[in-house]
Amino acid sequence: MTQAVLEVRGIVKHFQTRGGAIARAVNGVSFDLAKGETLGLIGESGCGKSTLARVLARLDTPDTGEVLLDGNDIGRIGNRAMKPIRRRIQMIFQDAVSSLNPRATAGAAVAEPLKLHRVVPRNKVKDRVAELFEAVGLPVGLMSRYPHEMSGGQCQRLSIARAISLDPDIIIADEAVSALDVSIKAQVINLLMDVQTRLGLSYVFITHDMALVGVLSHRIAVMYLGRFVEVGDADAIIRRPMHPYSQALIAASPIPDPDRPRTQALPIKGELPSPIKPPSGCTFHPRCPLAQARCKSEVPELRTTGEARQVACHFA
Amino acid sequence: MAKFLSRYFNAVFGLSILVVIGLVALFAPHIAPYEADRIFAGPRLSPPSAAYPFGTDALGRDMFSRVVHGARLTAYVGTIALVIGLGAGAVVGLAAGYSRTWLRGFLMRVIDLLYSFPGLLIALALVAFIGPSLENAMIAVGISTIPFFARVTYSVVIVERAKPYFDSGRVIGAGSLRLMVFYLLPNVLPALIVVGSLGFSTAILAAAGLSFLGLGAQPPAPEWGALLADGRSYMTNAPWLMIFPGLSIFLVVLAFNLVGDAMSEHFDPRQRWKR
Amino acid sequence: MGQVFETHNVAAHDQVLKAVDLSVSFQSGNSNAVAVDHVSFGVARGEMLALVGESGCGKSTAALALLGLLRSPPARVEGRILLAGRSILGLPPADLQQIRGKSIAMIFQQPMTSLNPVLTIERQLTESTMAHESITRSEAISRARDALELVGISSPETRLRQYPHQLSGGMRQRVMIAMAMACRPSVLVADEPTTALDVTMQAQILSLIKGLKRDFGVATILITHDLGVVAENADRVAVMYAGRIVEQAGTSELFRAPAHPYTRGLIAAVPRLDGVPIGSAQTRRLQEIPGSVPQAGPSVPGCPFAPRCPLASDRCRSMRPMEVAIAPEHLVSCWEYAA
Repeated sequence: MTQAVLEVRGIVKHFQTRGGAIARAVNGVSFDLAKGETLGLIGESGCGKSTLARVLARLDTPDTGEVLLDGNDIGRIGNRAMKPIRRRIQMIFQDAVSSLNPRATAGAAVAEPLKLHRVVPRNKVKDRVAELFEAVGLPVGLMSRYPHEMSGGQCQRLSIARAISLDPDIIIADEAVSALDVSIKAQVINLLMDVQTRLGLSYVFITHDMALVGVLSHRIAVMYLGRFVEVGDADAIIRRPMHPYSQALIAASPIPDPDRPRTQALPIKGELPSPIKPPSGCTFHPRCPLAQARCKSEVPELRTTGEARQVACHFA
Repeated sequence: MAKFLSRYFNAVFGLSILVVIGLVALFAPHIAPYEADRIFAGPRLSPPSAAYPFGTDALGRDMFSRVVHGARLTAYVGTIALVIGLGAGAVVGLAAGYSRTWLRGFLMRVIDLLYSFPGLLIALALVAFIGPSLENAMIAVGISTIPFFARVTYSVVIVERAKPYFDSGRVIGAGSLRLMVFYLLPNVLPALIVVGSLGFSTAILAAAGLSFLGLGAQPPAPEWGALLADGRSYMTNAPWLMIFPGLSIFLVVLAFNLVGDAMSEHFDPRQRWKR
Repeated sequence: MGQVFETHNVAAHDQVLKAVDLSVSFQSGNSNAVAVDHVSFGVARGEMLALVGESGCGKSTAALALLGLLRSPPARVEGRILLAGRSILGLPPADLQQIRGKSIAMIFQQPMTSLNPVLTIERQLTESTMAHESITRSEAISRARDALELVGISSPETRLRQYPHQLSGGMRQRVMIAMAMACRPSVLVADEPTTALDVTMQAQILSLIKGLKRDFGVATILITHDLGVVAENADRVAVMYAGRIVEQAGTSELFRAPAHPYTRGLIAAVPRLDGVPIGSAQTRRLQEIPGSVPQAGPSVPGCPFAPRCPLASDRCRSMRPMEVAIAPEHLVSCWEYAA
C-alpha cells in the first residue's frame, strides 16, 4: 500500500446527553487512508459514523486519539492553526440544499473558499469559479442562483465544486448522495469518482447503503456502536463478510433482482441499542445469532485475519 | 392587483398609515398651521372646529399643530430606541449564539437577569439615574429592550448555527467574524426585521409612557405621551386634549403591528402555506 | 388531453381498488400543476402493487387521492376510483372517513409525525376501532393488544401504556401498521414505509407487511423509490414518471425485460451488491440518466421523458404515447412500442 495520507489512531468521542448520561458515539476507532483511496464507512443510524466524520473534518475535537495528517496530529489544534489545514480536508454533507448558505449565490459559494485562502489572485477568481462549475457539470448560467432555486442534484454538484476548489487531499462525504433521486444519484456518484481520478483524492465515504459502498470504495469499514467490527477490501467484504453484523447488513440490503435466489438471511433481531448503555462484552451480542456466553463478557479485539482483513468477533 | 390587495390588506393598510405619518413628520412645518408651542394661537380650550381641527389646549395652543410636530419626535424616539435596542441586542444575541464557550453562558445569564424585570421598570430606573429628558428616555427605552432583542436573536442564531451550511462554512476555513457576519447575520435578519417592526411600536409606547410620567419629553415638547399627560387634568371638560394624541399613538402602534405580522407571515413559509 | 386509456389487465375485474384515468392537478394563482396525469392502475386481493418513481413523480399524490385525503381546492381530482366496484371519488367527507380506516388504511414514512405525541399507544389504537365498530372499551383494548402482537411487538401490555416518543423508529412503524390493520382493511397503502429506517429494520418491517398481505389477503399498494425493495416485495410494479405511469408489469417481468427507456435507465442506475464491477478500482461507473427530474408543471403534450430519453424523436416530443401491451399484463407508454 502507498503512504497513508491520513492516519487515525484510537479516536474516542463521547457526548454528555441532557440527562447527564454519557453517549459513547465513537469508542476507539483507528484506520489508515491511502492517497487516492476510498474508504467506505458503513453502519446504521446511531452507530457513530457521522460523529466520526465530524471529528475527521475537525468540526468536533476527539476526546482522545489522534488524527494524523502526514504524521502531524490535527485532532486538537486551534482554529488559527487549523485554517491552512482546512484546505486539505473538505467535507460534503447529506442535505445538499441546506448545506449551502441560503443567502449566498451559487457563484459566491464557490468563490468564497478561493478568496478566503487566496487560492488564485483576486482578478482570477471569476475565471476559476467558471472552471469549477464546468468541472462539476454545472451550467455557468446558474452562478447567480440561490440554493433554493436549484435542484438537490445541482446543489450537491455545487458542494462538490466548493470542496474541490481548495484542491484538498481528502474529502469526507457524509451520506452525500443518500437524499438524491436514483437517476441523479448515479450522476453524482460518477462525478465523485471522476473527480477522484482527476485530482488523486482520498475519500471517506459514509453511508448506510451497502450496495453504494460496494460500488465506490476500495476498502470498507463496518461500524457498530462506535467501533469498527470489520475492515477490509470492498470486494472481499461484499462477497465474503466475516462478522455476523456485516453478514446481516448485506443480507438485509435489497437487490433489484426479483428472480435472484433468496439467500437465507441470518436472523438479526431487534434494533441498534442506545450508545448510552451499550451492551457488555461484544456490543452486538444481543442481536447476534452466533452469540455465546463469552460474547457477553469479553470484548472482541479487531484483529487481522488473513489478507488485509480485520474482524472483531470471537468466532471469525 | 386586486388579489394582491386582498391578500395583503392588513400590510398595505398598515403601511399606508406609516407612510402618511412619515410624510406628516417630514413635512410637519408645512402641514401644521402654527408652530408647536405658539401660545394663544387661538382661544383657550376650544373644542375641535374647522379652524382648530383637534381643538386647542389651556394655553390656546393649536393641538393639530402640536400633534403634527409631535409625529417627528415620535418617529425620532422610536428610531433611536430601536437602533439602540435592536443593534446592541443583535450583537449580544449573535455573540452568545455563536460562542460555544463560557461567553455564551455568561451573556445569556446576564440577559436572563435583565429579562426578568419588566422593561418599563428598567427604563424608569435608568431615567431616574441619568435624569429625565427626551434623549435620556430614548436611551433608556432602547437599553430596556436589549434583553428582548438579544433573546430573539439568540434563539434564531441557535437554530441557524445547527444547520449544515454553518458547518460547511467552518470546513472551508471561515473565521468567527466571517461566520457571524456572512453566515448567521443574513439568515437571522428576516426574523430581526419582523421583531424590529413590532419593537418600534413597543418603543413608542414605552417612550410615551415615560413622557406621560414626566420622565421623558419635557414641556413644552409636543411628544405624544407628554401631550397625553398634559391633557390629563382636563380630561372631563376638554377630552380632545387626550383623544387626538392617544389616537395617534394607537394608529402608529397598530400600523407597525400590522406590518410586523404581515412580515412574519411572509418570512415564515409554514404560515404562508396556510393561505 | 382527455383520452381514456383502458387497462388491458386480465385480472382487472378482481381488483379491490382501482383507479381509472385518475388525474390530480393543483391550481395556484394562474399556474396549473399536474401532479398525476391520467393514470390507471388497480390492486387485487392478496396482491402487492408497487408504485415506484422519483421525488415529485406523483406517486404519493396518487395515493392520497385514492384515500380522498387531498384538500380540494387547491387539488382537483378527476377520473374514477373504485373500491370493490363502488365509485368513491367525490363521496361526502363523512362517508370517506368511514371508508378510511375501515376499508382502506394508510401508513406513512414518518411514523412519529403520524402518531399523536400526547396520547398513549392504547388510546391511539382503540380510537379508530371504537369509531368504526360498536364495541366496548375493554373489547377495543384486547383488540389493540392482539394488533400489537400481530405486528410482532413483544410485551404489548407495556407498549400500550407508552407514548410514541418512548418507542424506537421501527417500533413506531409497527404501531402504525397495527393501527392501520385494526379494522382489518381490505386495502393497505404504504407510503415509503421504510425510507426513514435502517436496512435491518427495513427488512423486518417489509416482511411484516408481506406477511399481512399473505395472511389476510390485504391488497397492498407500496409506494417507494427503492427498486431493491420493489424487487424483493412487490407482485406487480407501476413505474411513474412526471405524473404518468410509463410502464406496468409483473415484478419479475419488469426487471427481466424492462421496456420503457426510463425503467431501463432506472434499473441500470442502481448500484447493486451483486453487480459485476465491484471495487474494480477506477473502471467502475454507474449508468446515469442525463438531465434532471422534472418539476411539476402543466401537462406536456408529448412524452414527459423525451428530454432525457436517448431514443426520443420529434413524435415523442409532440404526441403523447399510447399505453400498449407488449406482453400479457405488461403495459408500456412509449412510441418505440407503438404499432
